[in-house]
Amino acid sequence: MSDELRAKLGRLLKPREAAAAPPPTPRPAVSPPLREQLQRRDARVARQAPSTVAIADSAARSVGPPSGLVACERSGTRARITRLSGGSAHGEWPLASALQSERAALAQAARLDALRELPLEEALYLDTETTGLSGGAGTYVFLVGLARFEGDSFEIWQGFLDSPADEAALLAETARRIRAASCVVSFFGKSFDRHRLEDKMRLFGIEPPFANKPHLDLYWPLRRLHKGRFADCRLRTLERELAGVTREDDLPGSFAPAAWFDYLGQRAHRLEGVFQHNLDDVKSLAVLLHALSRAQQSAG
Amino acid sequence: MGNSSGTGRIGAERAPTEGGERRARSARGVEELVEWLSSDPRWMGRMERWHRIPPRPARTSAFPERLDPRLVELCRSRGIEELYEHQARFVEHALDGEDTLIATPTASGKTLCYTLAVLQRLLETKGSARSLFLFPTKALSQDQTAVLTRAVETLGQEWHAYTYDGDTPPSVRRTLRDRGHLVLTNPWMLHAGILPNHSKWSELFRDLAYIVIDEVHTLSGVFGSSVANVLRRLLRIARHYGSNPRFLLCSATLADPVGHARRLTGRTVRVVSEDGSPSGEKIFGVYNPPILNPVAGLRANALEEARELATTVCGPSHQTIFFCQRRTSVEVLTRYLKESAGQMGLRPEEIKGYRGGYLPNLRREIEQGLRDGSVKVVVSTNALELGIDIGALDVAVLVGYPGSQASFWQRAGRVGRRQKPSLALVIARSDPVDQYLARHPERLFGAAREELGLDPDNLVILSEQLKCAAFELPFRSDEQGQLRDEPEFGSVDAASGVLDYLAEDSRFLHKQSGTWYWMSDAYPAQDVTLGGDDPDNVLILDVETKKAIGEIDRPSSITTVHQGAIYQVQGDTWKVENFDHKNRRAYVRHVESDYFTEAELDVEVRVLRLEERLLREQRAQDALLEDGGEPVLDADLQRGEVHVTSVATLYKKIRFYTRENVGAEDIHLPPEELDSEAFILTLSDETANRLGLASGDRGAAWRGVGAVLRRVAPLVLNCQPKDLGLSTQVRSPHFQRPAIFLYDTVQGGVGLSEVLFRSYRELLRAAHDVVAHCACERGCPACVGPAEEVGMLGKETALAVLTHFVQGGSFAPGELEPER
Repeated sequence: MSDELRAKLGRLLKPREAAAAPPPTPRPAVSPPLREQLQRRDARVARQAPSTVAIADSAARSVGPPSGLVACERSGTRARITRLSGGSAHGEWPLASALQSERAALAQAARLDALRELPLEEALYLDTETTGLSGGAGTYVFLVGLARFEGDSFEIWQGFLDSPADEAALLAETARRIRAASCVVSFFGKSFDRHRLEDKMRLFGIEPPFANKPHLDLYWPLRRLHKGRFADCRLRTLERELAGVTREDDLPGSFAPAAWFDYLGQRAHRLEGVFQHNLDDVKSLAVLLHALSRAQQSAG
Repeated sequence: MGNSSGTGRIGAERAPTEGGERRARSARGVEELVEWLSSDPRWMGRMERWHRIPPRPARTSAFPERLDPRLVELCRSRGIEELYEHQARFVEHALDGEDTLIATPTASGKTLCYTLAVLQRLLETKGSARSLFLFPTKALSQDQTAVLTRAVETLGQEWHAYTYDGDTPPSVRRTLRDRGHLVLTNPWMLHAGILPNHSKWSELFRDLAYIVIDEVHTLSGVFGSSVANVLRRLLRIARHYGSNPRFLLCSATLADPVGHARRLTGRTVRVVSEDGSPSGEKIFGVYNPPILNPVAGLRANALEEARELATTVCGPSHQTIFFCQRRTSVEVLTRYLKESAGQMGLRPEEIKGYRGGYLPNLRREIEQGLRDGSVKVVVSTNALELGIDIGALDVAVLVGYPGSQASFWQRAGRVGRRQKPSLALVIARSDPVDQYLARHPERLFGAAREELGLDPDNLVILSEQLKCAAFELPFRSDEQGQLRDEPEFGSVDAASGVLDYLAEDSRFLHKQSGTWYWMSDAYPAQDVTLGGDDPDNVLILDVETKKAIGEIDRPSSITTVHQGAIYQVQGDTWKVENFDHKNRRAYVRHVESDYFTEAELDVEVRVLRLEERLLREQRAQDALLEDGGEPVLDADLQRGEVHVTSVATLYKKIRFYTRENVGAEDIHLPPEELDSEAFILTLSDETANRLGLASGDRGAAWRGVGAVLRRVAPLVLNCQPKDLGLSTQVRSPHFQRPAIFLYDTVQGGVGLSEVLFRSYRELLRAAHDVVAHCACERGCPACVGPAEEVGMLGKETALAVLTHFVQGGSFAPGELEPER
């Protein structure tokens, strides 16, 4: 880019720093409409920017790629794989309690008859991290958490978008894994995660795996069964109230986009916190599945 | 013309609306009106010129042979036995796979052209070829959806035509995306809804055969330049999904259809412009108001003349439309006409005002009234010039030349039915261009001359649109850092530089391995406007009902809805009690006001950067030196970037009818700021002194020169005078000599100053011609401004300055002066 073009763009698009121009001008140098636009834009940029709110150690910044990433032989996708014992507790319940859920109760609660016949041990627990809530082609799904029970263990695969150039590979691998599962379990994923993935898959010509795949979205039935009991029906509230899950040092999801942007920009980033947050979300899906079964059974 | 003398003044009492006047006038047709206007002593002297376009029979053509017999059958079932020539040619080109533009007047059957092409492709592909339609208004797309749906039903096909706009319920959007063969939308929805979510529309983009755009002559200025970029984005997305759609464009008659279409779409289109449809006789009249004050050369006020003329040209048996230049004029004239409805044999409710800023349901109601004939008179701004279906009316009165030939023909084209003659009258104002055209009316009826201003490469617009485009798909660069495989944006020199800027300076993008990726959690299309509907508009709220009664663009708000302003809707007056400038809300209360308000604006221009200069030198007037001395500056013309600050200073209260000034008050509002481009004229101090600019009237005469230049600019450039701002400085802080700035009122500029710079000869000559030939003695509103404003010697001095610019020798490219 020529210096001349940069200077011109700077004049037209960017509020001139008052400090940069020594003689104080009585009037703003950029027109209010443009300035307001820029401020609105900056407000959003500010949201991605590191907050001054104290974030505990586990969410501290690090430099370089997230630890423990392995490349998938088949697709080249990079992922972190965590294996937990099915007996390990998440809050007050072991993860494997999910497998003890009553399928009939789940089917009834979720109004999804297909669940009655499905092998629950082949269910896939899904939660993603994205660069924005508004959707659209420019929103990246940069972390896909998919978990399933393998024998005695709970295996969490966290596919990570190491570079925006690798999107298609991550999406294809994600689609393959979803296709292999008996059903998908998520929290608000029918309304959000699924659409972000489908939009991106269509963009790359990858057949989305969700059609005809039973999808149990815990949010709706839990909300229905517990309506009015808690302050709200967010995941954080329900996991605490229904499964005794308390998180320490949780990095709020709103920090996720900035963490990834910082990583790509080769700045210190909080991706470790994002991985942990996503891991905890996926684990909560397992214990909340059982909580749903219990709640439906006691509701009759 | 019968017994009603046409003056409407017989009987001072209000005529009973269903009584004699209404009956008497119901027999009057256009022919009688013309005869009356050209023979009655009161009017005949004011009619400067009549021009008649004789009735024209249809030129028809058989259905193209390759047109599917089912479509021929469809036409026949609608009573269409053959096509007009232009329709047949359009269909042929479109079916040949060419990008095609039809540029013919309103009501020549343009809709059928693209309908046949689109349906033929659907039949040929057994329902797979899809089309996307863009209309400038929601109402138009809804009308067309109904038309297409009926056609598809008649063909017995299972295809679907849908309107996709802000009113489409979310529940049907999905069906529409997956199953809509014909999707009818508008540029805003395409920009903010469809393109950013293109993967949801992958079915449409995969099989996109045609992009149909109606009313492409409305796509100029900032809006058009933005839409041109939206189309670049559209083609880019279509290419991603493997389709290469063709454009089918419709337009009113254009000066340079090929050039306009190329700037808009980036493609070379086939143009069909010979209209084969029949038409009734069209009669045009140029009306010049009488000179009231021979010394001042002042003519009667055009709005007052329109009011008087209305008593003759309005009546219950035909529909009349008045076009005013300003919203305030619409309100004033509507009020006048409603008050004298009885004299025209009309009821007040048969007379309506119409302008932008009215809420949609009120507008729809008036449009319906025009179509079904219940509205007999409508007073409008250019809002009704656009492609809104109001049927064909009978008489059009243009209160003032609308500033461009295209607009003139659009407005005049609102009248004219197939079988009946129609009449269009232009009332010349005391305005340089109006009077110039009253002297040279052949210019009005000749071929279209002005081009539409469209600059898709305006840096502000381009960079905003590139943000949206990068959100939709990443951009790749080649080894030289230029865009790779991007036929649309790749042809723009600045594109890769802007992307770098967005990555390096604004951090919206992330560049990695030669690819620019969108890298922000924002949704850019939400914040990028197309210029047609600025979200920064000020909402006008009734303090009593808490309801919005209208809206207004921000730059105009400081002179229109400042505290104390009288805001008018449908002739009703509202007083602004409080203007919350920061939150863009004006709170108004309904009052019976006998005055309206006019605000004054103080403008300051600062030079940021000069880009080009033409100058003229002269030998220093130093008699002692034999060689006449070193050449020194005489005058120059420049263009460059400027920063403009506008402050509303005070407003005057002006009584209706008498225009008596009944008071003035200060306005306290923050200034409006603008970064733009200007065309600049300066004179050396020596020359200025010699021309008499140094005397007491110096500033006033210099301002007079600027005022004429600004007012005649529409003769060389398709723009409204409001598109150009004026600032004159007798001693410019930047140049240290007299300077005139004509600047583009759009942020970043859309190239107007560049056109002025290139056309300076014609511009200066027209200004000179206007001042030299004006009938006044010492200045008037039709040239440099009235003597009270420009001073006793103002006109003489201004004419000397213009004569010097025009006849003082040629200008040559010169070096820019060093920064001071």
